[in-house]
Amino acid sequence: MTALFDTLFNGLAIGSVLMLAALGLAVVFGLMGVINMAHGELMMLGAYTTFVVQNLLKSGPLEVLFPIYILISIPIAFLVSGLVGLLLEKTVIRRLYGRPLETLLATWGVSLILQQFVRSVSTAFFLALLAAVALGLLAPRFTPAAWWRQRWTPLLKAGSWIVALVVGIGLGSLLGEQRALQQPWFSARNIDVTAPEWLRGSIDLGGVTMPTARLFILALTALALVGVNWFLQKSAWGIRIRAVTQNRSMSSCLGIPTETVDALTFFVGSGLAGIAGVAVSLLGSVGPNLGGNYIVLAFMVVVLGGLGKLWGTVVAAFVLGILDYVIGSGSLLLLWPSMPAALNGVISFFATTSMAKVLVFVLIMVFLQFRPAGMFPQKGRMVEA
Amino acid sequence: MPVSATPPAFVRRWWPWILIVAATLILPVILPPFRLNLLGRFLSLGIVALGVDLIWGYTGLLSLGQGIFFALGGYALGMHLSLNSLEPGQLPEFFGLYGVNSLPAFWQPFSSPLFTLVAIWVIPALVAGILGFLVFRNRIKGVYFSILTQAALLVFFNFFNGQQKLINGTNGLKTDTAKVFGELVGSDAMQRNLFWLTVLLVIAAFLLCRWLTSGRFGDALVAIRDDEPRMRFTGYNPTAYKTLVFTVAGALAGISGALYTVQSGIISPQFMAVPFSIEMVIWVAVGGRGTLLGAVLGAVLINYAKSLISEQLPETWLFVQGALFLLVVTALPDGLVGWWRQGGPGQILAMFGWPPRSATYPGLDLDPSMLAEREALEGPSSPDSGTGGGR
Amino acid sequence: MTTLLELRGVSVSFDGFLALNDLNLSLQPGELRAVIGPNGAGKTTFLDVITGKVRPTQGDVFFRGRSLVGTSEHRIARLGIGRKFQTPRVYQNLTARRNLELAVSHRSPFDLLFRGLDGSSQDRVAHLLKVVGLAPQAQQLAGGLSHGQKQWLEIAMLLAQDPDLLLVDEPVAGLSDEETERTGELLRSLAGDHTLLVIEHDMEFIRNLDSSVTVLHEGHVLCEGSMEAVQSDPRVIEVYLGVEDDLEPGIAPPSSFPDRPSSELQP
Repeated sequence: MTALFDTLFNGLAIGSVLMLAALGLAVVFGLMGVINMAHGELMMLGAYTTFVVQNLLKSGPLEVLFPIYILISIPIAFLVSGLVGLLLEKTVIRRLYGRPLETLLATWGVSLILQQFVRSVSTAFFLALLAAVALGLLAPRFTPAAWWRQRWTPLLKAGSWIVALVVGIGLGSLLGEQRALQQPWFSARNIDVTAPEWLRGSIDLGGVTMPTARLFILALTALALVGVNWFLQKSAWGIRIRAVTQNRSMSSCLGIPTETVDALTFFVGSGLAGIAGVAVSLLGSVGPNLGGNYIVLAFMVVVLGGLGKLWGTVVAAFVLGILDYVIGSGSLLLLWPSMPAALNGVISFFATTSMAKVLVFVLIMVFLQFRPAGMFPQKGRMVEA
Repeated sequence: MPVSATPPAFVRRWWPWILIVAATLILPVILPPFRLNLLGRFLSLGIVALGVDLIWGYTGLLSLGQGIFFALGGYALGMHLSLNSLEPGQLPEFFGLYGVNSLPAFWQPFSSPLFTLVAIWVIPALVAGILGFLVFRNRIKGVYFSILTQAALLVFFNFFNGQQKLINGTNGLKTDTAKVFGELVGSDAMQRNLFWLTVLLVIAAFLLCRWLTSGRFGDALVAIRDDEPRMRFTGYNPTAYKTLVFTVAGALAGISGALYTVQSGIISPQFMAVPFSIEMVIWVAVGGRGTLLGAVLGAVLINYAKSLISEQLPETWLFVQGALFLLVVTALPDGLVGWWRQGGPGQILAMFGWPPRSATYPGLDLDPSMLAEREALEGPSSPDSGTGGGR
Repeated sequence: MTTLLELRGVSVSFDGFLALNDLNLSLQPGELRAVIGPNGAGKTTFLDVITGKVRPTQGDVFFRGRSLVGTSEHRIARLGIGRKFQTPRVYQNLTARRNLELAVSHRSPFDLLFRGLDGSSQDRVAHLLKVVGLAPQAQQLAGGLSHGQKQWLEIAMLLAQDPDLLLVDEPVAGLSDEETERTGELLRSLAGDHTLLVIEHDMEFIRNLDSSVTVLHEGHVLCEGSMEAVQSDPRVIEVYLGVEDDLEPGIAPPSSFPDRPSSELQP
């Protein structure tokens, strides 16, 4: 019995991280049909934000807040990831609505840039980047207006950005000679977020040891879920978002600002990735590659749950979490000691973290053979269109 | 008007090919072995790119899992090379590390060179065929297909990565020290032969793809990309077509992987990692999807750029690659070859007013009497009447 | 004479919404039948059920006495049922000629790879291009054709398929008067050898088709008969114009039903 509870708890714990990671995707992919491969990197930004908040509060005037830095970093991570997502929507994704494959590739490009950004970013790098962007944006202001109405203006535009880039690189290497400025903020190494004291212990309940950090993540997941559900079902903007999902042109005719709705949806979805990042940072050291570990599994959760159904995402996340734990830990062997030898062999073959993933993915593929639209598919003609 | 000597029609039609043939003849002579080896590797990547182009550029299926088939081909050859220079009864070295004393059953057939030569492309083709059939049968398409292929990729990656005792896990298999026909695989002479072999196979793969895409079969692929349900209602079964091209692309990936493995000296699960498979897509996108030449060109160019940048400024490569993804999607949707064919260079020249844009026949437009007449009618031509601005 | 197509008690439910509700309809070989109905009457779902895109929740569809339920779309198409879509759907990136060549014969990948187009098929393609007046545009990409030309190209593709039963969804939407007239002539000339089912909103066009008319309403057959009979049926007037109370007194029965945009807003 204890073993059963133990399995259940650990499965739920894994599932809740998956749930958090997939929640933002469910909003962005499920409601907007936008596939954001940089979602994992937005999570990574959330984790790095937690790290920064922790370091800022460790000493200095705000030291009193240190014990609850994790609570403080939740809204900040939401904002940071959300704003980066918003920027992404405004600059790239907006141009690509209705072209999902192109969106996939473009956001993958963004994910590569974000990964390398946290590895490389130093004060010198940051300043040079700011300067280059400012130069590129302001170039039309400082040059004769007539230049921007010529046949060769597209070339001038590209050229001005190239010049801005070159100036940026030059400035970067110049500033980089200053040792203080050249020091990378994070570097390629992993960073460690130390959980605050009140999250370090564990609670024993009926013989099951439940780490407090895991419980915290479970609670955070529940809270995020309730929040998103409330936002989409009850708030005015949530209702607008759902209206745009169902019929964009009709909503537009009714005066719903669809562009704002798109931006807001993306902001919320990205912000949720930031919260997931806070949760992940509690589980161990995190690095620039963090996103890759979660993105595919998170997408599987959304696909398995069925698009546009938050409920499906929840069930899928926990089912996958429990499956992953049961297979990976080989805990079936403990639950059922007298199983036949052949089955025993199979189960122990898959009882490692990576082999468990193999089996879970295979099971997902098999499941999708029977229910291609996921567990809770949407019906009707909308889907076919 | 200046009279320019027009090259003969033959040259005008075939000049890309003439350039390519000339390059492949000259390069092995002038390039140092290391550079030649790199070029051979990149060309072999051109074969997997052809497959990606076939399924994505023509049929609209964006697979993010071609690394599976690439690595399967590589592993098939890698296993054979690990076996073929052993004494009877000996095992590949790594087995000793994990305490394995007898060759696993699935290794046995790979000691036969003939079996291996077939397995290199048949195994990936079979896996692709089965996977493709299961997915296409359920009409999973678009981004769902992409995500599922990526998930399948992770299945294979985790499997190969986790199985030390079967396939040496993370470390992969090394092929440098194996011998073929009494010659070390890693030797310069062998590598030069492999370069020729690669060139031959790239040409063969190119011709195969051209045969597939030029006739009515190619039309059917484009039609599936444009409007799959319409194809169904016309009596076509898109599942059969998609499965077939996916299988062909899998076979091409396998051949490509085998060639790459012998030229780089190692096959490891890294080739089944997520980034490598998406990189293949960007080669095709930069070269020009839907154009076979573009696929090969893109693979060579991007990988050359990658090795160049990684040598000089390793930190910036990911930035460049990320920017390429963005650039290709937003500004250059048809890639370099597509841009060239749609008169891209001419458009740039036109931006500088050369040659002048013509309203009627160019000859008529440049006629001095016509110019004088127009000047009289319109006044001096204003510079900003036109195409500036962009979208 | 045996019935060519028969729908028996077909219902389709999308999450509880009945798009088709106990629909019964039969077509005799060689018949030309027009189907009309207000928005959301289930006209397109009705075609979806026949062509295998949507599986009926209840009831059965028979073609030459054979049930079509559970048969995949391409098999149904090969049995001899062709469909033209509401908005013209041609393969944008192929030339007009190649669009037709794909429609004309040989449907397996191996046929397409290893067998060229035989002479008679090529002649058919050339002939059809002439019939629909697209011969000059034969080498042009279909995506670049005008709306009317696309409509005609799709009709030509349907003819190239040479089906026994042609399901034609709004063939004249967006066509000029002259084109509309020619389309009507073409469809009338096809009846007899082929069986046609035409969905249209242009009442003038349907009147000129001079065929029997079926009125759909809320997924159900409201009435059937000649155009005149149907038009004077009070139930039909009610579903098109609303309840009679809403009507101002003295309004004459409409000579044509109110038009609506060609892109149907779905429930």
